[in-house]
Order: sequence, then structure tokens, then C-alpha cells
Amino acid sequence: MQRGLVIEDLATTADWLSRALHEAFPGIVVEHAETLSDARIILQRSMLDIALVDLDLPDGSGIDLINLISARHPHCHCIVTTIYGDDRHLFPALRAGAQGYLLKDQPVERLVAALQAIDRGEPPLSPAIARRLLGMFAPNDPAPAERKLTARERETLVLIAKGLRLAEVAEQLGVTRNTAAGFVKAIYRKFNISSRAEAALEATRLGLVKSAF
Amino acid sequence: MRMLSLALLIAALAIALCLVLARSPPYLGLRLNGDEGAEGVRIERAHGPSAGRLRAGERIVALRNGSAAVPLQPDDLAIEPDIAFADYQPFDAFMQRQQALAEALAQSAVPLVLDDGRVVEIIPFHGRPIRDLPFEFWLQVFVAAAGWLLGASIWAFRREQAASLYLMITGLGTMLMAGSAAIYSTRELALPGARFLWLSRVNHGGALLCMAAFIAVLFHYPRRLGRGLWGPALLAIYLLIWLADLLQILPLANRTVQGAFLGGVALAAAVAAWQWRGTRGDPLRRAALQWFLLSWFVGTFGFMVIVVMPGMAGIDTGKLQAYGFGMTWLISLGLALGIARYRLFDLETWWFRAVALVGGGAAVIAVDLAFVSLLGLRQPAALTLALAFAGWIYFPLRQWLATKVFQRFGLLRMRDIPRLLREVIADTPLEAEHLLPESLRRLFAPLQLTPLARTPRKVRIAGNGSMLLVPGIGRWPGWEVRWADNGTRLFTRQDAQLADAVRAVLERVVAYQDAVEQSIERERNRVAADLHDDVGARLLTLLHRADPEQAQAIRETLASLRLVVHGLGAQPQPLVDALAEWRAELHERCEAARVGVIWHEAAPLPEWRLDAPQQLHLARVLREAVSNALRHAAPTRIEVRLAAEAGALRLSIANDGACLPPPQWQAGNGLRSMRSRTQKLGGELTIEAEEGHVVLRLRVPLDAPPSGADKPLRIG
Repeated sequence: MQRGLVIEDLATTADWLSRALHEAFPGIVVEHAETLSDARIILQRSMLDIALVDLDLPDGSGIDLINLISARHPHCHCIVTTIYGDDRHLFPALRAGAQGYLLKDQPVERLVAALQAIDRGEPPLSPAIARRLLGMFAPNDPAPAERKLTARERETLVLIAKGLRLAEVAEQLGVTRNTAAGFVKAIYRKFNISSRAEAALEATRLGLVKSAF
Repeated sequence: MRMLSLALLIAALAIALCLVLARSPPYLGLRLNGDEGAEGVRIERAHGPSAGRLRAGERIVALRNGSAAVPLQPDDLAIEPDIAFADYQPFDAFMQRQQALAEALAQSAVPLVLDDGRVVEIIPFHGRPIRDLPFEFWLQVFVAAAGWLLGASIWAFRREQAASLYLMITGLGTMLMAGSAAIYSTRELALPGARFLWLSRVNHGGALLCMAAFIAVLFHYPRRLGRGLWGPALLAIYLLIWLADLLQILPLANRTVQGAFLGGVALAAAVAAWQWRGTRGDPLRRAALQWFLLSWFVGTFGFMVIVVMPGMAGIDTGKLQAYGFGMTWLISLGLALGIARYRLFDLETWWFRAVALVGGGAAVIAVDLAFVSLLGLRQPAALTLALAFAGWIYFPLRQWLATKVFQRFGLLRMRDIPRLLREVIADTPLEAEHLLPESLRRLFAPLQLTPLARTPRKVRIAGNGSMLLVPGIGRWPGWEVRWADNGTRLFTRQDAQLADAVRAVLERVVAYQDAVEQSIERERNRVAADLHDDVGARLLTLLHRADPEQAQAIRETLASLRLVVHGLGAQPQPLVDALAEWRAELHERCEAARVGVIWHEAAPLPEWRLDAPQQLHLARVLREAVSNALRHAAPTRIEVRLAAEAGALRLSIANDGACLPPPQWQAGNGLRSMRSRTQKLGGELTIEAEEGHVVLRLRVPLDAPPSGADKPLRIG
């Protein structure tokens, strides 16, 4: 990670998040934006590796930004920061393409650990969100393979929904921790794809996008 | 099918026979009428053989037969000799005169003696043209055939019931009675005496047979009242009466036959009353019986009132006999419809109206007759007085009776709706789902109330009145209401209208409730957003400026804030979901502190749901316990065990490490808060500690209903 962006309107919180980024990835350059429009400007001119997006910004919801980042800057890790960890708040953000979330009130060490975990390829997933994701992926979905969960991935979701952590999930499934983490990443990716596919379909249907075929 | 064809054949044969017999006498082409007090008979119309030779208004006083003259009396034209001649002597004399007239008519040329002395010879046709047969003939033939066919077809389809056999016999009786009357009552002038006599006897026999069989039907339908031998016994009795009439040994001659008929009606009424009492508590049977009785009542009573009663009072109503037969045919029609289960559920209103109508008419006639016979008043005056009497006394009486009857049948219940709705909605606040079934239950006191898988489009009666189908309100199912008033009556159209009205009101009520809930929800969301934006943001800022001690406290505050916001709109959450979250949190905290976790859940736990306060308190207690362990004991391992026991959740958190025995613990806020929260949950908390090991045990009852957390947030 070399360049990071913190999008946050509370000054102390922004500083604190920057500090966490510096501790997690020594040598990283962190930029700060207080509004969506500032963020957009920065996005246009810099190649970012990670962005911490606050959902409640003065000039709009961070979700629009997440859409933008995951569309135009796919190599950038897009992480949502929030006070609320429940699925009602996070779900729309994840749907828009966020690759993880952080709770703003955690101690710095936990935040650093979470950031490093994300870098390692272990995005966080809470039981509530896992439950909702399970609901989103129907077992007999006629969708193409890139949008369907494999059996292992589904099992992973089920275990996480019960409250198990990654280590335990790996143990139960009989795989390494890395493999289990891979399942979680795949889940996120497929969820993102399927959300985007739905959005694209909707847009086509509404006549907003000229379809390619 | 074969029976039906046979019945049709018999009917056809009967019609043919009637036609043959009616057409066989020689035809003069005259329409004759007798005037009281005048001599001979008056010509009303002359055509056919008499056209041009005789004119309307001329009177015929005799027929010449060879050298003898057969005088004509107005009586000779009697349509129904039973009624015209009450005793046997005049009756026999009449028959003899008919014979003489028939012989005179059999000549090739019939000399007619007019009152002014002229003699006109008419050459009769050999048979009466069909066109000349009057309407009364066809009506009675129709009644004969239709009555027989109805009876026969009912028996053909319901051969297993004794009642249908007797019904067929009434059909046979009707055929004999009406068919014979059709022939002689519409004759031009005379029939051969012997033939006429036999036709008259067949007529009596048919009437008596019909009456006897009808009583037998009532004896058997809807259920048999006694030994089955009574049916044949009744038939035998009436057969004996007929034989006595044949032999002319009945005391009052023709009046006895009529009396036997009327007596039969009275007996039928008694049997009907007996059947009625027996159908109490069986609304379908009672409805069937009602229909049966209604049609019978209208038919026979009408017949009696028109024909028989005045006949017994000496008034010659022979002309009306045909129409009387028409009314009796209504009986058969009513029976057929009743058996087809037609409109059984509207009977109360129809019954009352029919009774009132016929009874009212009969009252007028009876009072009129009374005035004529008892007070000797002349006709127009008597009728006027009768009408006035009936009007002033009868109509108010009828109105009063109507309200009484309709009240008894519960048909005035529209007035009860406001009270009912008040009870259902205001006094006992029910969930929207239960409003409709509870109202239906109170309105109709049904034996059964079941939800319907597919909701009907509108309220309707089904199952011949035993069921009422009511559409549901909103997303809830419709209802099937069975057996009104604890199974004592059927549903009427008024009931359907009532149910519809009540349902419409309840639909409004539910819509209103929904609107209120929606606005409450919006308010909740607004409050939650405000809390988040304002309080949450401030706390966060404080957090990031604070030192570690304070930071922890602020974190707890934020956690509480989260729980409160969550609880504002929260539905009860399944226990398993809450446990999953705690487990994940526990793991995360222990992973950060490098403490091992063992989680043991006795499977399966019941499907309990936690309301918002329960979630809040339990979460805090657990968090506090883990915080304590992590802070004071520096454990290597934390072990959580969960089990369900007798409606309560048992939870134990154990940790190793450097543990002080409990008396040496400082009663900090943590311990106090744990105890108070446990108390709020209605549970028990125990802490056991020994060297190197602390176990916290929590027991929380979860089967009790939520502590009023579902009450909506009061705004303003």
C-alpha cells in the first residue's frame, strides 16, 4: 500500500484513521478529503491503493463514491468506516462494492490489525451480514457460475453466520486459513458482481444504458 | 330412466284418454249458461253446427227425443256436481237427467225447443273439435299430467325413500282427480250418466287418495315419525271412505267427502307440527320442511279457500275448481324445487310473507262469509264491511307480528353493529389479524370458523345456507363461517349484508392502524438518524481525543448508543442470531488479547426470540463479564457454555488465570451493573471462584412474553 485516502468530515476521527493507516502500512502517503467533491478531485488525479470512506458526508452519501471507486479504480481497496456495525447500515455499502468495513470506535490496535488483515486478503464479515448474504444467494439461482456461490463458499457463509471466526471456519472445513479467507473474498466479489449485474440490468431496463447486444 | 319413460307413457295415455272422452259426445256448437230463477239455459254463443240457426240470448228449454221432451234446467250445466248437489238424491237425479240428455243428443238430428216455442233442429258433429275445448280443460289436463310426472320422476330418482313413493301416489291421485274433472267439468251439455257417474267417482277417489298419500308423505319426511304401517293404514282408511261413497252410504253424502278432505288437511297440519318440533336443532332439515310446508300451504289452503270452504257454505264455486287445481299444482312444483334445494336460506322472510299474504286474503274471505251467513248481509255490503274490518284490524296486527317474527329470526341485527364494533375494537384491543374472525364469532355464534386458503371476492352464502364465506382484510385470509347460532339456523341474505358491512368497517380500522404504525416508523427512523449524526459524531470525536481509560468508557457508551438505536425499531430477534453476534465479538476480543475461546452450545436451543430490552441487557452482561475476565485475570482461555432448561437459558462463562477469591473483589460498577441487569431480565446470576478458576453462571427465563417492548414509541 503506497497511497491512501481518508474521506471523513470529523477532524479528530480523520487524524486517527490516518494514524492507523500509517501504523498498518509504514511509508504510506495518506490524503484527506472532507467532502465528496474533494474526494472526487483527488481520485481523478491520484492512483490510490486504499480508500477509507465515511458513509455520512456533508454533501451526500459515501455510497456514490463507492460506486465510483469500484467502477473506475478497481485496484483500490474500498473500505467503509462507520459507527454502526449492523447490517442495515452496511449492506447498501457492501452492495455498492465496498470490500470491507471498519468500526470507527475500535481501539487503534484493532483497527491496525483489521487493516493488515484486509491487506492480507481477509476481509471482515460479521454474522449479521453473512446472514443477509445467505439470503441474497439463492441455492438454485440460475445465474452463471461467476455469480453463484460454490458449496464451500456457502458453507463458509453459514459458519460465519453462526459466529465462528476465520480460524474456526478453516478448521471445520478442513482447509488452511488462507483458503478460508479466499472463500470470503470470493463471496464479496461475487456479491459485488451480482449487485452490479442487477444494477446494470435495471439500468438497461430503464433505458439508461445502451445495451451492447 | 326406464321409470321416467314409463311415467311419460302413462301421462301421454292419460292425456289421450281425456281428449278422447272429452271429444266423444256429439257437438252442438253451443256455449250455454244457466241463470238462476229463469227457465232453461241461455245461449251465449252459437257456432259450428248451430251457426246461423241459433242466436245468442235465445233460451233452450228442452230437447226432443222422439216423442218425449227432456227439459233443461240450469242445474244440468253444473260444472262440479259434488258441489252443486250435496245429497245423494239430487245427485242421482242429476245423473239420470244427464243420461236422458245424452240419449237425446245421440240422435242424428237434435231438435231443440226454445222458450218462445220454436223448435230448431241441429245436426251435431260427431265429435267436439279440439279448438272448442276451453282453457279450463287444458289447465286441468296439464295439472293431471304434470302432477303425475312430478310425483313419478321424484320417485324414479329417490326410490329409497318411502316419502317419494307416497309422493308418487299423490301424483297418481292428482292425475285421477284433475283428469276426470277436466272431462266432465268442461262438457258442453251432457255426458252419458254411467260415464259421468264413474268419472265423478274417480274424481272423489283421486282426491281422497291424494289427501291420504300426502299425509303419509308428511309422516315420512323429513324423518319417519312412527311405524311405517301408518302410511298404508291411512290409504286404507281413505279407500274405505271412497267405497262408502261409491255405495252411497256416507251420512252426509258429498259433504262427507269434502269434510274428509278438510279433515285430512287438519290431520296433515298436525303431522306437520309434529315434524316441525322434531327438526329443532337441525337447520337444514328444518329448512327443507319449511319449503315443503310452504308450497303445500299455499297450494292447498288456496284451494280450500277458493273452492271447498265456500262450497261447504253452499256457494257454488264449481267454476273456480279448475283454478283451484292449478293452485294445487303449485304444491308439486314447490316440492320439486325444495328437493332441488332452492333458496333454502331465504325461507324465513318468504315464509312469513306467504303466510301473511294467504292468511290475509283468507281472513277477508272468511269475514265476508261470516257477514253473509251470520248477519244475512247482502253481497256488496258484506264485502265492503269485510274489507274494512280486515284492513283496520289485520294490517296493524300483521306489522306487529312481522317485527316479532323478524326479531326472533335475528333479522334486525343491523342495529347491533355499533355496539359490536365498539366491543371488538375499543374494549379488547385485538391484533388486526383477529378483528374479523372475532367479529364474525360474536355476530353469528357459529359452530365452526375456519380460515380459507383462497379468499373469496365478496361475501356469499354457500352450502344451502349452512356456510358463509367472508373475504379477508388486507393480507389476512378469508373466513368460512359454519352453522349459525350454534347450529340452529341457516344464513340468510341479511346475514350476508351484515357481514359485508362489518367487514367494510374493520377494513377501515385496519387501514387506519397501518397508517399510524407507518408514521411511527418514520418518526423512529428520524430519531435514529438524529442520534447517529449528532450524538454519535460527538462521542467519536471525544473517543479519539481521550486517554485509554476514558476511551473504554466512551466505547461502552457508543455500544449502548448502538443498542438503543437498534432497539428503537427492532423486532424481536431470534436468540441464535444474537448468540452468533456475541460469539463473533468474543472471538475478536480474545483474538486481539491472544486468549483461546471454547464455545459450547447444547444443541438445539429452542427458537426463542429476544425483544430489544432483553438483547440490550444480555449483551451488556456478557460484555461486562468478558471485560472483567480480560482485565483482571489475564487468562489463557475463556469457556462459554449454553444450554436450555425448563423455559430458561443457562449460560456459564469460565476463565482461568490469576483469580482472586470473590470477597476480595472490589464491587465496581461492572458487578453492580451486571446484577441489576440480570434482575431486569428476571434471571439469576451467580459467581463462583476458586484458585485459578472463575465461573459466572447466568439463568434467564425466556418463555415469558416480552415485557411490553412492542408498545409503539409515544411521540408528543
